[in-house]
Amino acid sequence: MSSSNNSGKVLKLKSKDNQIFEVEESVAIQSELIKNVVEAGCDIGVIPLLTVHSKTLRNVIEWCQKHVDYVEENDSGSNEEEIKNWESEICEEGNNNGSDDEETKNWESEENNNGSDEEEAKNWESEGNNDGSNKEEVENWEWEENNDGSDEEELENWESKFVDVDKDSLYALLLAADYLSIDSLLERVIKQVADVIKQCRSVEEVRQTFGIKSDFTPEEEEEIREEISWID
Amino acid sequence: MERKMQFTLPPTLPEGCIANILSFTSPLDACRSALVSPTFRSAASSDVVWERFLPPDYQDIISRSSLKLSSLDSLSKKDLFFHLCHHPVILNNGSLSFTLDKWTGKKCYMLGARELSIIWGDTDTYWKWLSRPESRFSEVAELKVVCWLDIRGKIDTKTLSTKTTYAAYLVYKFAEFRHGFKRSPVNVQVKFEEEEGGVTSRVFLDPLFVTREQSQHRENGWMEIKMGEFYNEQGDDGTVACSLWEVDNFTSKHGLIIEGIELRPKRNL
Repeated sequence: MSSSNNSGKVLKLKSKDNQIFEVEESVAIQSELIKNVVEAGCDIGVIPLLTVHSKTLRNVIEWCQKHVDYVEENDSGSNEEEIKNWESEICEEGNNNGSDDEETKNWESEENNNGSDEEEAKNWESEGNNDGSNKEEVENWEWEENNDGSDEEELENWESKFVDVDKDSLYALLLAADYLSIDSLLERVIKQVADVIKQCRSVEEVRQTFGIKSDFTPEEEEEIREEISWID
Repeated sequence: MERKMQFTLPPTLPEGCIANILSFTSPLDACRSALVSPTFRSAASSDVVWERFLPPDYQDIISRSSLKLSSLDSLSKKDLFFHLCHHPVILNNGSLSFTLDKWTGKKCYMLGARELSIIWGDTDTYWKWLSRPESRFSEVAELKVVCWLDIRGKIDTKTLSTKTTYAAYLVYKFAEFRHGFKRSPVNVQVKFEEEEGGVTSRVFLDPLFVTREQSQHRENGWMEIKMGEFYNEQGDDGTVACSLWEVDNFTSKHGLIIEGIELRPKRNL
């Protein structure tokens, strides 16, 4: 489940129901728990996450991936490094005679062979191999990335959609984020749960929502009601 | 009777986590949730929760109090919160008070009479200043006689809680002998000083009959009447001016006693 082409280490995480997830280290160490395990330096084959179900773990990994991607896209400090890496990758591809030509030929034969397609293929080929135009692209990309003020908003919207789930799933996310110690997820889920509580119109509704049975004696309950009698 | 706790999903949520969640609700929600379960009750009282409900600059405000309030140091954050709701902190040498609104934790201020600009206020003939035991301030202003009534209070929006709709109230009462307020309304207005325009209302301080904008009773025999409201977004709108005036009808007015102008969050009931 990785989208970036970093050559990072891959970790294996095992869910409570024995499913194995392969996750890049940079993504997995968003969890303090996993980070500690990695930093401890032991060569662990599979990291067992005893309390996290695969359904929840899948979502948690998606969250971590999104946040790693976001940081990469918006970390202006590392832009130059990234550009250099990207440039050198392109150059490598460009210099790798076999694969490019082959690719172009394969692509050409896939599409209907008309004039415009061939032209496009030629342009693409030349772009791929032409350092000059690469630099332009890189500059444009750089300008775009650094001037897009709505990235944060986009992330916020994505996060809000992510936590807009049924209560059982939300509760599972909360427990997982707490157990795995993923600050960003924990904070967002906590706020969502707080919103759920705010919308409950009665104590009984809060109990039902979280499946909690009251453990108070009638005397204790009376005592608390007295304490909070100032509330309308 | 078997006492068993049931949860839809084991294991249970740690108390620290619950406290964290409650800190994002409101003082009202946190108090109510004490009834949910013993863990909730314990979490609802924790400092984590109430520290977040206290305004960020509460320590600075307390330190500026006219009285030494070192006894507050030993209180839990929850107890401190409720203390500040019910015990005004007096500032500015006895002419400004600070409290918290207990439903939201937002800041409330009351400008005492000495903080206000009262036209002719310093002239003995027209206004007198006295101490009243039922006032939180060292002095209140009593109107002997004027035709020209003009009272203004100002406060900087940066001292108020952000993202809050505030309402301003004149806090007052009448002396035994009063005159000039039964049949004549007064003008009231609340607006940002730097903005043009502003809505002016006319209200009766001493109405003959029940009106829509009724004055309400407060503690200690005072009354209050709403002067207007405003929305404080970021606290960078400059000064808010709350004004009351009656300068047109040449009726002489007597007997109005002003404790001050209070600003507090508007409650949506």
